[in-house]
Amino acid sequence: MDTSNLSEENFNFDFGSKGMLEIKFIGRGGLGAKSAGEILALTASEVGFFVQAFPEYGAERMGAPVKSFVRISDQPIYVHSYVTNPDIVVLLDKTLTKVLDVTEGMDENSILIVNSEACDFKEELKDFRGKIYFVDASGISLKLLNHNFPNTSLLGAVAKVAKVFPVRIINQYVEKKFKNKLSDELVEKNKQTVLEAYKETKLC
Amino acid sequence: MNAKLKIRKVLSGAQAAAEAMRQIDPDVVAVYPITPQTPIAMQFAEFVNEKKVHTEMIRVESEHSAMSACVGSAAAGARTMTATSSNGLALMTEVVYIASSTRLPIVMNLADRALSGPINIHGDHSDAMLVRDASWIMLASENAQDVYENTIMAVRIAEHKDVLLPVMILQDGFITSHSAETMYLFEDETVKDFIGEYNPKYSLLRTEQPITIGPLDLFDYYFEHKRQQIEAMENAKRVIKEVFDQFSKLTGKTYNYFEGYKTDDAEFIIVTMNSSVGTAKFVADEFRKKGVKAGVVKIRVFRPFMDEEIVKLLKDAKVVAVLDRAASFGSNGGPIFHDVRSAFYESEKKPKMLNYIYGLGGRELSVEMLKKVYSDMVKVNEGIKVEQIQCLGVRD
Repeated sequence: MDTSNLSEENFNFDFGSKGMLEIKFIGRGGLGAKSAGEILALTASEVGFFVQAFPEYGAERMGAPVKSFVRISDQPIYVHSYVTNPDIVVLLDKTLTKVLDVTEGMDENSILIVNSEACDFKEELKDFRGKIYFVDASGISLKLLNHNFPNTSLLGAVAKVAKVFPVRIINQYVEKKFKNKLSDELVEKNKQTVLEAYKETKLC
Repeated sequence: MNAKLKIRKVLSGAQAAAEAMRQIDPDVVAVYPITPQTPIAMQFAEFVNEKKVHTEMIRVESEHSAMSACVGSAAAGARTMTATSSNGLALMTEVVYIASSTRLPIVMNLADRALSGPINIHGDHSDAMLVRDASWIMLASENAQDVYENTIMAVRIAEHKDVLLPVMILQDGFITSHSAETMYLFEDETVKDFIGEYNPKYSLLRTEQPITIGPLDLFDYYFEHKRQQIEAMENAKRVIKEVFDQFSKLTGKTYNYFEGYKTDDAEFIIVTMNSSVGTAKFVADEFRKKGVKAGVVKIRVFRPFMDEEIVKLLKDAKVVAVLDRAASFGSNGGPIFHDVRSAFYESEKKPKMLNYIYGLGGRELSVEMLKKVYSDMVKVNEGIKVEQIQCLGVRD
């Protein structure tokens, strides 16, 4: 694995006994849970890690609950089943706490990141013993992009809590992915949403 | 990573198939969209549109027409490829048999999906098993990397003068076709050099050497032609290994009909194909940590099925569990189980053998389910009775 992209920050991530980091995105059709997973995986790949990204394909329709999964490792990844014990869950829509068991399979070492302007959802998760972070990703996206695209900005939050690679690598990838599709101004604003979410992510 | 596999990418199985097709640059691709194959056709159509290939892409009105167009084009001497899934394969089956009996080296990617009904779009192997006896060579793929490599090798195997049979590359619908993962590509030139120019011995377009293709063939010669087909499949057994060995010089990896993972000293072995191989390796590693000698056999070549090779890998095991992602209604166990168990008929030494039907209609094969399989094998070895053939992960 070539991780020269990390050297200056001296990131030295420990993938633990599982040998990998497993992340689950939970959203609703249209919020971008699948593309968030893909961007995260592609970013980790830029760093030199082995990755997997795949959604749970059900009946796809706008507004229906959607899950996507990412695995990151410093070794080739063999397992090809759904992530059942995620290290990190990113919840793109907090109203899903009323519909799904969003912390299923998580333990006291797991991390939940919620797209929310306030820490006002804890009573829905009373059995969860891991750490909870929140950030107003939708607000940041509405302010900077005029649309509710919380997925890209939430990657800033993931970078902050996962500590598997620096946030600038996400923006390197965002730049690469969007530079031929969006105006320079929009690319810049997308990068700003990532940085702002990185800064604003708080412990609940 | 390996000698010439150095372009690092994150691609889905479908994209990996399309990348291989781009580098192969076939003369003709005739294809009709069907989930979950569609992203292969879509990505390749983009390559055609961007003029990254010289391919004549024929957008047909059905899979029956797709394979018919492939038969015509391959008979004309063009390097020909296509892709399909599930009911698309079912619809083209009539012509799938014609392609192989006409000895046309067509290469087809199959994103495996459950056959209707009830209608379902997810991955299982019922489509592949439908054409198991169609005299196509069938290569199975654990992941996107295998899809890519198998597709490239398929061209050389299919076009070999002693074979001249079509090749199908299997990958699990959605689980592989729509899952992005780290993989490595060759430079375009490496692929071009490996597959070489296609110079068919016969071509309908070569008017100075007129031939007849597809005439009526009754009890006078039909049987002799079928016998030639049987021999071609026998020849394929040798040719496949030759192509594997040549390909291995490019990648530094070894390829075989069946590939053992930690099988050297294994007492408990899972035999399976496509994406479940990876999950089984992961679970085998967990059991190894607990001191259980677990191993996995990955089926890379499903047809032709090499009895002596599978026996070699499994004969010293105590218990073997064969996993089938398809049912064979009315027979005892799934289709792969039949093959593996039958391979042992002449063998003095044989392991106890279990069969699990799993993952029909895309039902998730979880790590927990595979832990149960290894635990069952351990139980059998301890003399505890376990049902020999059972469904895994199904409601009662």
